[in-house]
This record gives sequence, structure tokens and C-alpha cells, in this order.
Amino acid sequence: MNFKAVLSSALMLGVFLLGAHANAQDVPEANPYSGDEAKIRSGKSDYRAICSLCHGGRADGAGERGTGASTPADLRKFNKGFRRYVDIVKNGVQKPGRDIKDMPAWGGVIDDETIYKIGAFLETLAIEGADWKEGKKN
Amino acid sequence: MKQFKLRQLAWCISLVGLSGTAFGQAVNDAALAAEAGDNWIHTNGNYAAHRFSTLDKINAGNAGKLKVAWVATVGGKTDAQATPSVHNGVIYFPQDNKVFAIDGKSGKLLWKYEHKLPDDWGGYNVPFFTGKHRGVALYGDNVYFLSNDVKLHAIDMKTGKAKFVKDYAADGFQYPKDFAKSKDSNGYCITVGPMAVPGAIIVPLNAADTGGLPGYVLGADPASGNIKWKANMIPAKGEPGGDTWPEEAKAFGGAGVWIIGSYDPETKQYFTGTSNAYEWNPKNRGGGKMDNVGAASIVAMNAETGKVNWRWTGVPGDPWDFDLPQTPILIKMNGKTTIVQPNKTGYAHYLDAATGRFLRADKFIDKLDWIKGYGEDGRPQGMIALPKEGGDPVTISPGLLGGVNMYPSAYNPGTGLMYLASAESAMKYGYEEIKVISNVRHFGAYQEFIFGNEINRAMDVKSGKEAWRSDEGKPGYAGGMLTTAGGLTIWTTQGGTFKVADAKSGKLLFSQDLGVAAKAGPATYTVGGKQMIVQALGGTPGFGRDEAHKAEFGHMLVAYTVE
Repeated sequence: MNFKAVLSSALMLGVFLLGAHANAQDVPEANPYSGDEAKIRSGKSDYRAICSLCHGGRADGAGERGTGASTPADLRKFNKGFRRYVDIVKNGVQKPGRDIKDMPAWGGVIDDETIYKIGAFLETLAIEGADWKEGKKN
Repeated sequence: MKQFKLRQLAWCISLVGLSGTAFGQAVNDAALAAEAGDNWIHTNGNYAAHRFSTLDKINAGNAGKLKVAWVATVGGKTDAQATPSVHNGVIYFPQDNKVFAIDGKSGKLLWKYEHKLPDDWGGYNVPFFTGKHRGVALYGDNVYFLSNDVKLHAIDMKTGKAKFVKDYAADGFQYPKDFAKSKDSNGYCITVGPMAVPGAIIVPLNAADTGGLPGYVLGADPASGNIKWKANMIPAKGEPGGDTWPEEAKAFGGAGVWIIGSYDPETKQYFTGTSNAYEWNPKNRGGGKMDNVGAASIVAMNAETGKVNWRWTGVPGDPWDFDLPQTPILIKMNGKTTIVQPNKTGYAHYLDAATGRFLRADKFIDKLDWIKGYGEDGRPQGMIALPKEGGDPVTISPGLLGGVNMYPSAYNPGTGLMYLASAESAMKYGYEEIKVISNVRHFGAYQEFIFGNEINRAMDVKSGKEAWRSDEGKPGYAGGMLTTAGGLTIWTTQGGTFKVADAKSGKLLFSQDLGVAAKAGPATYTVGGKQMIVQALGGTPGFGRDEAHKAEFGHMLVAYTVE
């Protein structure tokens, strides 16, 4: 690799890290669409179209396509808070030893508004132990 | 060209058995055509997909004395869905884009072949499929393996080294890509295994649920992997059924192939079931009012030319994800080769294998309300009304996991019974707007499962009546069924209980809780003079979260024998 290529890679990495940092900074502490009926209805449609195949129509983890390496999350009990929710949706989840993220990284293809709308819908399904605010430290 | 000729010459030499190895003689055409006995060459046991073995050393008289001979692990990271293939006492087993050769006597690893998926591997539903395989094919001196990323690997049985790896991307079958790394994530993802027939390796292709591309079956040259023929599951314009689709919908219409099919050497026809039509929400493909022939169908093709002889559609317009992904089983009835296929619909369908003519449909599950029945014309009658997009879901039985899912059935010519890995189920099913993201068309549908019990059944193929059942008391499907000339029927429940029953009466002769989910059928073979039964286990019970089993992920192979 020549000097220009190294410099270019370093610059790209810097831009990426800055972008990731800026992205994290941009996520509000609380879901701006919480309780917004129109956004919740739209988020329900998005959830059913995009998420339900793994997480199930009831969001309880009972989706047909959820058994890659383990069972998918029961989103009614999601307790990691709004910002962590956004992070997981954007960046996905990878289990050790797997060739692929079992939860895909949707960050490049679903916009923030859609992610927030889906979150607002999921909040309406919350059962005991769920936390969509600050979230438990885990 | 010279290299190609040498490769073909080497292939011919291996086929006549001159290059016999420590692993035994090559698998020639006669071996392919034989019934399963000492060897278990085809994933489905034989050409007709009976999953029946002529072995009888383990039988109703001694099955109660079965003991674990060995336990092995291949370190699986997802469901074990393959029935092992066995030749000359060596087991060949695919898992996580690897193939393992295992000593059938001791369970010890002989070699491991490993394929690395591309760095940009990913996409819609692809995490679910990654690492799953339903079998390998054995032919000549080779183990033929299909990796998830649409590559056919010819692996030397003796050394575990690849003789060739054929990539079908240049033929138009690209793999699905990570959303973050490609603007076009759509592609073919292969979980089904290949099948060997004289002169060809059958390569089924599926992209039904990874974004919407049409399904094909390829006939590949065993010496090179090059495509000899290509059969389209969705009929082209001008073919019978070609007018049952909006022409533009054929490009994403699904009808892929999830399973290894069956083969009739007399007519040289290969038969396969096909997947759902795509998208699941039918609005772009006729709204359930067009038949979408080729999807949710059984398709017959000439295995020398790829010419499709007929397509029979079990769920016209497929509005429920009631595809027919099961293997069509070939049974001689009244002197004619008859296809019998128990499937998702809750019916076993009977067709004339020569013509595809519908003969009858036998209901085999207790609760079924999506239709009132099948008419003499082979069409569903009195189907429940479809949901409205964005409206309330409708509740139907069975659910989209089906009366029988992909878990294989078996047929015993001695008892005349077919053994079904079946379940009771229902679902709430609704339609939503169809999203298109990264050139991936999403389902546009969703479901809420209502699980019923796993019930493994024996069905008389002549009368269509149930002969016996084993209600396992929890949701799921057995991994698959095996039956033998020893008068046994063998399966492992979804929860991981290995069971051996009298094939005729269903009386339980042996049972052992193995504690790991079964999603593959067992096989039997002979090594060192002993009959062995091998079962692959692996995964988490159920589709999605299923609290009933209270079982965590596990993975292993277990072999049984009697002393």
C-alpha cells in the first residue's frame, strides 16, 4: 500500500468515526414520536413490513425467521432504552462464531424517522420490565 | 479445453470405480439407483424419496435394547437441517458452510472442508438462512455441496479437498448482500442440498424470500459444475400457465426450491415442490385472483434436458404463504407412478407423475378451515376471504408453518404407510404495504402464530386414513421421518426426544430424551457389520421464540446401535 492509499484510508476512517460519533450525538434522549398516534400507526405498518418476520406479529420474538443462531428479542420486554434501541437497529447484533449479524444493520437503508416511528409503536406494546427511556445498564 | 477434457476423463474413471479409495469404491449410477441399505447415499434415501432402508438388524424385536454408540459435534452455530449421507461407513454432513466427514463407527472426524462466505454477505432474511444446509450429494469420488452463496463444491471424498468450486454468479445467480455494503441486496441464498442423478447434479435455486427473484432448478455437469440445463419454475410467456401472472411480476415472483426432490429413472423426470409466490402480499401478482402457476406447485422436468413437462399448482395465487416446499414422494399405485405430497395445506396431494393430473387430496390434520376442500379439478373450494391491506388480520388453520413443513416424510412399502412430521397450528395473517429497500421487496404480510401440538402420524396411502399418531404434547415438528424393513419408524421430536416405534402399529419401542432440538431426519447404515442409526440435532426448538420447550441452543450428532 503506498502513502496516498494509507492517507486516504486514514482519512476515510476518520470521516467514518466522526460520522458515527455525530450520528450518536444526533439521537435524542427520548423518542420524539412517543404517544403520537399518527406516527404510531405508521410505525406499526413499518414494523409489520420490516421487523415482524423475525420478531413476530406480536413483537414477542415468535417470528418465522427468528432462529438463525438464537431466538430473537421479545420486544415487548425491551429494557435498554431508546438510544440503545436506535443503536441496535442501525448497527445490528452479531453473535460470536457466526458469519453474519443475526440482527442486520439497518442503518444504511432505514431512515431515522422510520426507526423512531417503529420505536413509538413498540412502546405501546410494552409489558412489565420494559424500559424505553434511559434503559437498564446492560 | 485440454484441462476440461482431462477433468472429464478423470470423472469417467472415477465413475467406473477404478479409482477406489480407502473410503471405498466410487458411487456409480447403479449405486445411485439402489435402495438405501448399508449405504444412505441420497438425502431422501432413494430416488423416490421414501426415506426407507432395507436394513433389518435393528427391528421390533430388539429396538428396546438400542444404545448410544457415539456422540459427536461439528460445533454448529445454527439449525442442523441435513440428513447425513453415508457411504462405506463414512458420514458426510454439511453445517455452517462446512462439510464434515465422520467415521460412522466411532464418530471421529476424518476431515473438514470449509468455505468462507463473501465479506459483503448479508441481506433480507439471510441471517435466518446462513449456515443451514439440507444435505449433500454423493457421486463418483465426490461429495457435492452447495454453499449458501450459490456455489457448487465438488469435494474429494478421501481428502476433503475441493476438485472444483463452481460459482453461478456469472450465470445470473448472484448472492444477497449486506445492506451497508451494496445498494442491491437482492440475491439467491441456497439452503437446499444437491441431488445426483445419472449424468447430472441437480442444483435447486431459491430467492423467494430474500427479496424476490424467480426460482430455477439447474442440471450441472458433475465433472465441472457447468450448467447443462436450466428449468424455470415460473412459466415463461407462451408456456402453459405463463398467462397466470402479470408479466412484470415474474421477475420477482419467487417459486424457488427449498427441498431436494425425487427422480423417476423410467421417465427420467425430476420432481420438486416449489416455494411461495412473492411478495407474500399478492397485490402485485394478481391479488390472489391469478393462479401464479409454478409457485406453491409441484413441477416435473426432464433431468437430461431441463424441459418442464408439467406444473401443478396446489394453492393458486398463494395468498397465505402456503407453498409446497415438501419433497414429492413417488409411490407405485395401481401400476402407475404416483406423486404423494403431504404439505403445508394440511392435505396430502396425489398426482399422476407422468402427466401431473390431480388424483385426490386427503386431509391429514384435525383442524383446517382455510378452505372447505379440494374439488375434483384439483382446485381449492370455498377459501376463506383474504385480509385487506392495513386492515385486521384473519385467523386460519393451519398457520403458514403448515400441516407438514419442510421436515421430511417417509414411506414404507412393507406397511403401505406414509409417516408425516406434522403439527396442528393456526395463525392470524394480515397484509401491509410492500416496502422495497435496497432492491429488496419485503413480504408485505405478517403473521401471529397460534401453536398447536407436534403430532407425528402414519397415513395409509391407499385409503388416506390415519393409521396411528404420536401426540408429542408440545409445539413443533419432528426433524423428519425414517422407516425400515425392520418394521420400525424413527424420528426425533422438535424438543429432542429420539423415538422408535413399530411401523405398523405405532407402539413406542424406544425413547430417549437428547435435550437438543431436531430439525433433520435420521438415517441408517451399516458399519463393521452393525446397523447404526444417526440423528443430527441442532438449533433452538420451534420457529421463533417458543417457550414451551424451555430449551437452549445446542448441536450434536448421535448414533445408535444394538449390541
